[in-house]
Amino acid sequence: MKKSELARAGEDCAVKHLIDKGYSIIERNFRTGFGEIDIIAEKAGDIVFAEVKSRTEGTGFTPAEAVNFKKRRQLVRLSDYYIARRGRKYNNFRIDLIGVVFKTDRISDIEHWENIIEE
Amino acid sequence: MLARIKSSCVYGIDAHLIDIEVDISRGLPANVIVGLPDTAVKESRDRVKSAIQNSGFKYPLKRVTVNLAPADLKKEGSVFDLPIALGVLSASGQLKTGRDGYIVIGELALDGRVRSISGALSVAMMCSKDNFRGIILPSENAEEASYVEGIDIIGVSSLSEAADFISGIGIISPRKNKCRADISQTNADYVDFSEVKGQEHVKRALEIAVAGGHNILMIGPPGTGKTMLARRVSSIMPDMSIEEALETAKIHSTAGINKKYFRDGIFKRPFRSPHHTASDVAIIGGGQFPKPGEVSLAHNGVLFLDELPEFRRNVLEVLRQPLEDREVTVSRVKNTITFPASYMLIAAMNPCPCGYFTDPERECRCTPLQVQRYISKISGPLMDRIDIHIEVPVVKFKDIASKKTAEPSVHIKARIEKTRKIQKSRFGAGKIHCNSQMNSKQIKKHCLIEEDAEDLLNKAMDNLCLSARAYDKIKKIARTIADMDESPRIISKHIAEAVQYRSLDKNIWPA
Repeated sequence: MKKSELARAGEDCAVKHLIDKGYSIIERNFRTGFGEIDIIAEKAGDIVFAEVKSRTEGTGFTPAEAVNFKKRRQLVRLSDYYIARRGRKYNNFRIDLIGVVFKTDRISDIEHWENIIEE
Repeated sequence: MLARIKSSCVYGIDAHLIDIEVDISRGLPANVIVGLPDTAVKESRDRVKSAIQNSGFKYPLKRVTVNLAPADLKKEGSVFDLPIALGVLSASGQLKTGRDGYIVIGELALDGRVRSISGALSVAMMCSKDNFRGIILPSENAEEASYVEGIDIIGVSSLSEAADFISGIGIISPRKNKCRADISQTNADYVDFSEVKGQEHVKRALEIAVAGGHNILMIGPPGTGKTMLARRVSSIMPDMSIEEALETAKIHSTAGINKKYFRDGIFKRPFRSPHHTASDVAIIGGGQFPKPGEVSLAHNGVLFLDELPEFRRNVLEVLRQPLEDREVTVSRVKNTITFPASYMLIAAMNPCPCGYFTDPERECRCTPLQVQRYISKISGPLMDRIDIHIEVPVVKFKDIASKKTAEPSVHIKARIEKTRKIQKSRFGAGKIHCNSQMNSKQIKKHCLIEEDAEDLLNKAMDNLCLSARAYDKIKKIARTIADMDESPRIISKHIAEAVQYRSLDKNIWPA
């Protein structure tokens, strides 16, 4: 599987996972000049900015390790941008990480970390 | 939403009112503390978050801004945990403030329990001065704060308890005031002078020293009871007034070593005996946010320096200024603070390095030079501030074995209180309270000496080679001895006794 295909498949899995959990999806791949937010979802007035990280099994790295300082800063900037532009009617915001690990073609594991970034 | 909680921070020994404002606004979850917090205050956000979550509340997923006002004072310590947590709860709408007018202090544990803090008494005193209704504080500190009258002392043991109280649901009955009830029962646990056998003349010297507020130095071979006697001095000191006791208690409260002190009751005179390796900062106080040192912890009590010449020179020199001014000022970049330090200095030393110079039985192994060096470690200016020098000889076995019990402290104390009363009426409401504080002008005015006593003093000056410094000291001591006799004039027997108490000014020491 190519890298972009893997990412796309991972995001699809994450969307499914969020919907299963009772979230409604507001945006996918919210693009700006300085990056994109993979998924923006909403549940009970809370807005979730979800970053999806996909991995094939056996690489030796977990999805959580892929969110480094630079990525965190970017996520915060992107979220602030969205909040300022379109978030007026919502109250609570948080940034989540959804990690998807593939076993060849089939999903083996999906993990959801809530509120991963706090200043 | 904005919430406001009153709290307090202790600078030196006095508490200052601190306003804690908590604002919750839209945005990514963040937690900001502004208003010159130091590290312990900044760390409180992590404790607060865990404590809130573990107490069954929700920490808001929003931007939480905490402001500590006034913004120009440095804030230190962990006392803001509880008020910040209550502020966050109230700003996020999980708590309605139903009770107003309380000051809140307390440190939080991660599970929401409230931990004890230092300086609770100072905060309680500020509370009563500024007419607050009460204080909400860790239950472990409720006892020490209950010495303050006129405010509600609310001891809480957990965040949820505090939250219930603030919202008006919970009922916590205020702690009963302790001050009046405590006075009578303090003398029970002093060590008593009746336990010391023999050494009657040293006891007499100590009695004079306490009666006139003189500092005293005991010189004698090891094992003669210098330490034992010194420990018993606080039992013959006059009772403390409520103001004195509270001032001393405040110092102990801010120093954070309060548990044992407050268990013993605040009317017990403090007895501090720092080890001779103590540093100068440990003695006078210090630190970035200055904390009181030994001289302040001994305020209104006894500072006992055992093995005086073993103390480092600079440590002894810093003692001079508080002995004179009855307070110390500690200056640091962040703060300048004055601590009260009105104490009675009792020092003990051996006459020489081996210890047996004045012992009639044992041979001293020191050379004259060694003895001289040992004595000269104590500088003239410090010696100048010690009125009474008394030699403590080896106790005779006959005295130790005797069944006769010595005079109990209560009797000595009664005499001392009488003497202090005489001095009080002499000096009136002025700056000085006892004979030791007289300056040379006052000595001239108050120490009226009979003619034959004057002759005796002059003779003693010549024959014993007493220094000029000794002259005034002898007059002061004689004044105290005369007061103990209730004699308005100093007669020859008073002078004769006073002369004995200047042994280091005599030239019996190798020099």
